[in-house]
Amino acid sequence: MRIGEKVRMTGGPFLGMPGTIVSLDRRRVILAVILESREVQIEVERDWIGVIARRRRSTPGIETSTLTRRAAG
Amino acid sequence: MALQTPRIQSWPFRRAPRRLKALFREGKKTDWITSVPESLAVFAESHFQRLRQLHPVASVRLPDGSIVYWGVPREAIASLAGQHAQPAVLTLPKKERRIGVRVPLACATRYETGSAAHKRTGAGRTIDMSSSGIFFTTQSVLRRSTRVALHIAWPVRLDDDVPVELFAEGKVVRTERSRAALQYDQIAFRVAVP
Repeated sequence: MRIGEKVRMTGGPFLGMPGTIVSLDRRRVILAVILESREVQIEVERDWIGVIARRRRSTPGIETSTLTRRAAG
Repeated sequence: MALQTPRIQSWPFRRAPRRLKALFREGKKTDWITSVPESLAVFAESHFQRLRQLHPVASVRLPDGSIVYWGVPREAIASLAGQHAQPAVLTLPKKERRIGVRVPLACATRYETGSAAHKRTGAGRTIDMSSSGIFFTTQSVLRRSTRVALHIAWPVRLDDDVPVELFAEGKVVRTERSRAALQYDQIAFRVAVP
């Protein structure tokens, strides 16, 4: 998990919401998210974040996203 | 000194600042608290309105204009009961020891027992749920006092789109051949991972 990485909130009150990591430490993460068409920053627990991993399927030009959730903390 | 960008802050209840926890005396460790500065309140409110589809959310406006939200995922079952269950007068047997309103609800589940090194998994479905426990089917006999992590595919999607699961962790308090009752001490909503 690093700054600039796209993630999705997997727990807490913003679950399901995608965002980009702005800052992080051992326990907390600050994300830039879009809320009602405006970018805002949200600081949450690191345990509530999952990385959106990208993988390429065999069909050229088609890319899918999967969600890799951190172990529950 | 550079001005800090106003931001929303959210914590599990047990890790929230003491002054915020004091606003919600009935808060428990499975709940969460979120503080929203006044300048962002208008953007956050609609989000919390939608979240109320899943579980109760209360709020308090502070003198500085910020709003503090308190979420109670553990009340989701009672909330669902209020929305979907048919009202019924129940006569409990004399030996009935379970507390809370039980909601008959069949949801797909998967469960995990044992340590990380010796994890055992199984699948089943819920039979009924209450604000303190979950009765569900199992693929094998789960011994009493076994710690179980239960993932329940929740029947309500967030914004009618995002699949969510109710994650509950606790110990088996009653067991039958292919059924077990879990008394949970942790409960939270999560995005369901396929």
